[in-house]
Amino acid sequence: MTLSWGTPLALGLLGMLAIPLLAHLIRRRPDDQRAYGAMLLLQRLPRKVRRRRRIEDRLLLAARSLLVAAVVVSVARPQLQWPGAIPEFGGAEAIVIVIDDSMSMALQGDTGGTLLARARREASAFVSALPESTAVGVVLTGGTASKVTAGLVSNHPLVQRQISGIVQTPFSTDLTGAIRLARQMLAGEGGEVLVYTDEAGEGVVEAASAEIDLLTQQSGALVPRPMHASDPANIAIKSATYGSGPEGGTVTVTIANFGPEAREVPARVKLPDGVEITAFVEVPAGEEARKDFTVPRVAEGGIGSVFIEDEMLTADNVASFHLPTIGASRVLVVEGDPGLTPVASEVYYLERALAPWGRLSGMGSGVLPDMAAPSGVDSLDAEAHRLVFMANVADPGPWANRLIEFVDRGGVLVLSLGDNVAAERTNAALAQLLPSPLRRARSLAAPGEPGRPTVLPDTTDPLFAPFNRGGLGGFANIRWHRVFTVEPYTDDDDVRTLLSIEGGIPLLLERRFGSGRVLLFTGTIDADWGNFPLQSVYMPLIQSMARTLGVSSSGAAQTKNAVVGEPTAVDVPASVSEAQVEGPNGIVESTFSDGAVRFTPIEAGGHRVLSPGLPPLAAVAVNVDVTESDVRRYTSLAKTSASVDPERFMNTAPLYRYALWLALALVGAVVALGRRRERSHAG
Amino acid sequence: MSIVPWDADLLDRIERLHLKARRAVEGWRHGGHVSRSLATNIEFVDHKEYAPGDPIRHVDWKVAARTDKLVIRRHQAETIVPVLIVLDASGDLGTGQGPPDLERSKLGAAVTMAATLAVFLSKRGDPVGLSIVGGDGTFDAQIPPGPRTLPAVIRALASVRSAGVAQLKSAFERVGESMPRRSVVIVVSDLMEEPAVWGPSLGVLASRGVDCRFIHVYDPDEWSLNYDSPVVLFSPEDGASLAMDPSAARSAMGDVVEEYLHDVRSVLGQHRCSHHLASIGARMDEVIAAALMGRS
Repeated sequence: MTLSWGTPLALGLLGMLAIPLLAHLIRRRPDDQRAYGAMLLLQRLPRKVRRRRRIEDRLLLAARSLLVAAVVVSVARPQLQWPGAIPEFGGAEAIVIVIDDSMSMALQGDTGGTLLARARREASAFVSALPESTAVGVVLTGGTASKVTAGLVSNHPLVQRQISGIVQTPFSTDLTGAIRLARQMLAGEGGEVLVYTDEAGEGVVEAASAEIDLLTQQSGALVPRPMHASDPANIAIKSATYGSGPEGGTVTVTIANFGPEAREVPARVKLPDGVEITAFVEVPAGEEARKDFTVPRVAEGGIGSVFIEDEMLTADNVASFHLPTIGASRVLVVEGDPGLTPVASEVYYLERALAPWGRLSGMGSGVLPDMAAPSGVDSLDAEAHRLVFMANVADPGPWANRLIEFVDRGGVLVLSLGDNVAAERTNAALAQLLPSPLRRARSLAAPGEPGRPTVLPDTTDPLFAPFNRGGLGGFANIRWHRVFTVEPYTDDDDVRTLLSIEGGIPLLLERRFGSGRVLLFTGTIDADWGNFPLQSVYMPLIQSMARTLGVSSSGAAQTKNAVVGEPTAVDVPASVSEAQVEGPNGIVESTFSDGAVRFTPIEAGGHRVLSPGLPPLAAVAVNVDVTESDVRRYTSLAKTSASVDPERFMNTAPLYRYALWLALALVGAVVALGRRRERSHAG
Repeated sequence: MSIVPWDADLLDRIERLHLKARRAVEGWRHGGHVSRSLATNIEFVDHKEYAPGDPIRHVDWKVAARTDKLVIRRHQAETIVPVLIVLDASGDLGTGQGPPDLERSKLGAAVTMAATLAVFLSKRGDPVGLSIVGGDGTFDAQIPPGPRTLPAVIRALASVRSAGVAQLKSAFERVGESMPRRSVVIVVSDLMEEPAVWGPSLGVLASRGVDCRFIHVYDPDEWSLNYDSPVVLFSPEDGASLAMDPSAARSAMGDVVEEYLHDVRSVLGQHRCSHHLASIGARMDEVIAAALMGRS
């Protein structure tokens, strides 16, 4: 807030304040005259005491002084200025109306309708009041900003109809893009851009400041038309994710309360198989609350949904999440080198690691191993098996195509090596799948030596996540006397080194192929080349492989997350020639080109990319932009605009008018007080 | 018809008071006064009517039996003490809380007290004289003390109006030259002239053994500047005026009055004169009684 003076030199007239003071001090011969018989005493009084005068009639003096000050101040023309004014608008020859049709504008306003309805109504009324010669354009902010009118038009009834036809979207706010389109419509010729928006969402308005600056530089003027509910409140699902936990895991739902009061909301989780779990969630005002929903031990994979009940803004009352198939995961273990004794066999260790309490107990533990000789690959069921362990198989050639197809469609193949493996035959058969071609078996330590230790893995990888809770150091105890070496390779998006031996020797490599993955274990899965099966990390690592790698989401080849209103692309295998997107309420408009399906989801919920004759290519969990759920006001558009063009957004209070009125009032007071004084003197 | 400015009730109250000299006056042998010399040759001179305070043993019972009147035998040995009342009737005495000829003006109060004294002393048989300084009117300003002067004194007091200047210095010098030794002078004045000016003139009175008593008449409102608003104060004597704000000078005025009284008492004390303040709003009998007894 600043104070400015129109005529600052006039303040020098404040010296006139001395006039009433002197007038009250200067000796005025009193009217009261008295005979006095003790003049001798007065002559004895000190001269200065005889002349001393007390200020008479202080009230009159104050009124006179104020009168002089008020007159001087009114002449100096002071003005008080502070930011935040809505400038006058409607006088330009070209006007662009920007209407915020984002999700937050669906908030119920004070007049019963939504904020968007109010914006439509006010914008239409504004257009109807414009002169016929005024050119008008309309732009929307929802999702990616778009034009309603192709350009500036003078057909006001048409513009009004188009404004009335604007529908609510569940999209986010592209205020920056909308102002850019408006600026382009004005084409640098100047004009006004009226923005009807709720200003909701943290950072939305600030992000547009550069565009507002450009608009101002091009002689344009931004006029904020804020649409607010008097007491905005909203409950929204901020996120829903599946994670590990008791039973079949937990779905963690985060609910945000963007209102001023604490609320208890009913929340309902609906799993892909139709099972529903309900709970009430207490959400403090302005904060978030997390609620864990326990998933049954057996559940169908797919896209689940969470629902809450909130009337203020309904679009964010639902969220979707990916849920893996919960329950027994069938693993095919192919034994390539049955030993003479049980402990000399890979199957011995793997079976106990996958099903510690027997095969049937695997139903409860989540892993159901099928043991087979290499010929057992013929029994590989792509619908049933999710993981294939090929342990020390001499020649996978006969089943190579079957394995490649299995991986391409989303299966996981784990190859462990050993003395039985021949590099040439394996390379030849599985060249497409191997992360790197095999070279030869190499000794790392002499017999009797402890062997070379394993490097601790990165626990951020889901495969090693269980070791976050402890036991990670156990990897250092895995020592190797011998491993298979591979051809040099570099880690990239397709090939990664998950585990290595001290000295940079790869131990576990991963390659993505098609919709599946291949893991190459350069050591033996039994105790032939090292002590791996005898270490404490063996069983949890094998279990983690089975759980992490052996799951799928509703049988879809890939899973993906997307936001309502944002363009989304899903890559599909090259063999696919036709694909479409299915949303919660039917087929969604999409395009298919360059090996990818592209679409813009317009509603929250599970979406699937489908191709005739094939299982779902992708499952897409679509949610709304939670930024839109925050209906609280952050930075006002007026404030941001004022920082760019401060003069237009200044409130001005002409104080001199008040000073003038005060001076007039004081004239009356001075006259009244003067008369009272005269009467007093006369009495 | 002139108004007799004395109060009969007041006179009646003070009638019982005795005239006492602060110092022993030789001629005052009767009553409570002690003469410095005893008379040995007592010769009858005349009778006088009894007055309260006269010694009973001097009552002439034979005459009383014949005439039913109490008379006192007076003898040659008794000294006659002339009393001169000096009244200040200058212009300053004309101010006060009411018209000058009323009791609540300074002159009114002064005249009333002078008349009361004259009547009382006359009834006591003391020769009373009157000297008026300043003033205006048709009266005899100088009446020497005598046995039958009361009518003239009363007449003069009833006629006097405040005017002119007192000139206390020359007045006291004149009185001092005219008064016999061991007489009494009672001055009724506002003493509004510099004590340093008129004070030395009292030396003549003192040197002649004259017992001088000052009744100092004043208006408390004048001394305290008890006025509500700024006022122009002017002197009735010379017309000098001064505009002032009483509220601003009131505090300093108190100090001035105190200093002035100190000067007055100092001068009077030097010449063994008694001083009696007489506010025009206070009871006069107490002041007159104190003045008669010579107690300051």
